[in-house]
Amino acid sequence: MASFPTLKTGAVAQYPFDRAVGFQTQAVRFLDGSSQRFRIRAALRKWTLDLDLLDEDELASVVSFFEAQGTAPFAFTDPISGDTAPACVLSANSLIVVMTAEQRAQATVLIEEIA
Amino acid sequence: MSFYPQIASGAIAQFPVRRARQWRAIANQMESGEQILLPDADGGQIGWDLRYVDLSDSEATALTNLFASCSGSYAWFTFIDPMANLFGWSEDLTRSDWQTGLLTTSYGANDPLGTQRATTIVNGQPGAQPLIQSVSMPGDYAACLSAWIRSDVGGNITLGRDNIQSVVAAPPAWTRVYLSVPGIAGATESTFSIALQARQSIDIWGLQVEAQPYPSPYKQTAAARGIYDETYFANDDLTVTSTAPGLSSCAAQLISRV
Repeated sequence: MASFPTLKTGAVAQYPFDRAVGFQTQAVRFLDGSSQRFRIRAALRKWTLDLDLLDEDELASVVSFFEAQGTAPFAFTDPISGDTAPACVLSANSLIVVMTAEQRAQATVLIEEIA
Repeated sequence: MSFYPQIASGAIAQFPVRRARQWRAIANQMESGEQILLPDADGGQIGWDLRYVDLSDSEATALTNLFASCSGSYAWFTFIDPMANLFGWSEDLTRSDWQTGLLTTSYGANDPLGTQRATTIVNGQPGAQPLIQSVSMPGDYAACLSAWIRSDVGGNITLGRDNIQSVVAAPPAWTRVYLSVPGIAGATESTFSIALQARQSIDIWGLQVEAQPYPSPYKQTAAARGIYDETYFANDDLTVTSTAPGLSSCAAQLISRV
């Protein structure tokens, strides 16, 4: 399975970046104030990577990775824990990149675990 | 039983802390515009909005571990109000919350505010006697026991949390004394005590226990409140922002059933 590309520094992310873990629970609240809760799905993670000051090589590697990947899942390694999430996709099926000057690009990458 | 973690400073929250108390009432609106409200005491809840910055990795991990072990909003944990005095009946030592043993207490002495809300405690026994209250606070939590004390004849009193004690002076002028130590690791309850020496008499006011390392301004209490056993994460998502190597920020929204 394909893995998310690293920047020239060897890192996959820049500070600050967001890591989130999400569950899905349905709660029914009763008249006596108590509640009954149902777990609908287990934990899935999300990452928001705001990549800045990328040169064109780095930007190209990010763009080409997603061009090749499309909506297919890929592996992503959590930059903090080092854990690899084997099945991730680009969130919302979109990737926005901006070139602000020569050798200066930005990309915002939203990655979510799907299984 | 799971408890919401304290950060390394011993605090539960960082400023600003948002506490939103909600009540529930069944309302009937009449044709005349009159409303009949039936209070529903079981339906109350408190919403907490806690925002953290510059958390260390271990602090962020403690928070995310609790979130994961609760499966988001699925399971509950115990949350302690960071703004509360956790003692019940802080100015009424005759209540059953307090164990006075062989001490005698009389309310109505002059207090540091110039009113008469202090209590005179007399130990007429030949040995030390403690004033005790237990709080459902885990032993691993940092907590601060504080009180204003004075004694006409001076001497010392002993502040205690579980088996840890500290001797402090009781001067003729009002002085705030405090004890800030963790309790017994793994314990689900902490016992706080103020022990008088043999034949000693003191005036005391402003008894307070807080889940933080240093005392905040005294808050008078009635029935014990501030420990919420049934607290949930309000959302199924928890986002942690890594702001620099080893530093993170995050926000947690909680709901406590009252």
